[in-house]
Amino acid sequence: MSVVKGVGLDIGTNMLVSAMLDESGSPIYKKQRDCFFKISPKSEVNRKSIRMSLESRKANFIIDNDEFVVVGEDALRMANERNAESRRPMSKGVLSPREKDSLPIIKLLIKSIIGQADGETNLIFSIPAAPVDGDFDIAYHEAMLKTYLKEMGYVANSLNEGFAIAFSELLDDGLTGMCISWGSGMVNTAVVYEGDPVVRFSITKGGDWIDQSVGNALDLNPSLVQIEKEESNLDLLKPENKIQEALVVYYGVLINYALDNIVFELKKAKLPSFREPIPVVVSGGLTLATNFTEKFRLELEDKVFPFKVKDVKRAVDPMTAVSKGCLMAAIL
Amino acid sequence: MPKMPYNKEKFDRISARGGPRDIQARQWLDQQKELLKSVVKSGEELVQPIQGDLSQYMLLSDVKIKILDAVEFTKKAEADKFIGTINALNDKILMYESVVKSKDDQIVDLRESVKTLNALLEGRFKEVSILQEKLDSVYDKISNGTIEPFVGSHMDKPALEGKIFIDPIEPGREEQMDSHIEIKEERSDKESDGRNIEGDLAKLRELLKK
Repeated sequence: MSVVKGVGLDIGTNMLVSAMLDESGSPIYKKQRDCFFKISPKSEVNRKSIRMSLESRKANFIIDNDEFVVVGEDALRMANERNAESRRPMSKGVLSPREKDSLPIIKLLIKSIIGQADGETNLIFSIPAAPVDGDFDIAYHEAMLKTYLKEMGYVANSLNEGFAIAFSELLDDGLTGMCISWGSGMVNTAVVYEGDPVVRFSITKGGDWIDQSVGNALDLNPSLVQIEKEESNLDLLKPENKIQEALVVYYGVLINYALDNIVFELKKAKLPSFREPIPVVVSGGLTLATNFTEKFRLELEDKVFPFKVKDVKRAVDPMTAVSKGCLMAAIL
Repeated sequence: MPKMPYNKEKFDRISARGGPRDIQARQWLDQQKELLKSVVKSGEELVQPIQGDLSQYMLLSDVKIKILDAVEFTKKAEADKFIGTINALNDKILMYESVVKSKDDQIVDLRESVKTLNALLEGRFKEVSILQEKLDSVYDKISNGTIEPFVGSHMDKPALEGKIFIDPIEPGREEQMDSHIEIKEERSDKESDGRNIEGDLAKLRELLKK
């Protein structure tokens, strides 16, 4: 185990990502897909065969009494193989009190990527901003995670997801710019001015909404759409089949919806007067699609922001930007 | 003049120049003499000094002086006129220069005011940032139970304490679960592309003035 000085933790709806430093001071990341799929054996023989099958495919799983809970990447694949849907411990960026059965699972998933600490290690975890198009409270999510992380031996504090991206990606811009995190459950936006997060808010639509919408439109299982979205080299300017065409349409709808909300919220907010154009950083799983930045830039051209946009850039690594920002905050 | 016809037969007697031609010649000569006299008389009349009051006339030299005086006067008047105009324009230019200078001074003063206000604003931003941090810290302390909120406890007005979170997981629930999870460590290739965490941390500390 590496010497831990601090830990950064990105708690996303679809992916958990931890960041810490190894002995040489280089960051190492651990990722775990934030989903699970339960299999109930019908007999003892069946139980043994399921276990052998899971072990042979090197799947990550939890044995919960008589049930097998497949977690991570394999949960998504096995659910698809059985024409079923995998489940998520989180929805729209936060833990839900209604999903109490899945809370022990997310605890185990988190523990699997950060380990048990000594009670003195700083840990910064990401939290979404309050949603502008939903009425749920993120306080429950934050409080529960703090409790769980404390149990795991960490001195845990939270950091806004968009602000964490600024720590990672806006260092050469004087910590000034707009960061937009395109996740599965939410789109999180933070406008940062000289290191100060002046505006933070989220939108309760994201990659899951795209999967669901495309699934509804084409009568497909959303998990299948998710796999197509993530693994088919989707090019947002050059779709190659019906699913990709539908994905491109809903990507466009989501980007447009998010931008309209961002413009609306920024006009309401009391922003400082930006003397120079500011950069816009996009990050998160949705930005991994080929030409996401170009499509975003095209949609952006029609919008009027209360500041001038210098350029649009994608985070160096969209999947680790938040955890790296959290890590930097933890060891600062 | 045509010769008068004279048909008298010539004879030896010497004429005493009393013939018609002689008379004609004399008449012609007399005419010429009279003509000459009249010409001489006209000439004499011409060279006679002008009679009458000459006081209204001036000598040529005086006329020249007068003309030179008039030219000098006109020149001076015109020069004065132009100099007057130029002086008026100069006055206007000086006035405008003074206005421009006063506006320049005002701009300098305004720039100074803007600088002062900017510094003041920056100071206020820092104060707000510090206050925000303090609020965040207090909020964290309230949420993790280090301190208790005043609402409903120390204030007279009754209030509803709604931020109470109960962990729905039953105690010991995780111990019943047998975890078979193995996670691989990843090192970002992109991290080595000219970026390192130490350098980034130094930048962040500088930016946040830690």
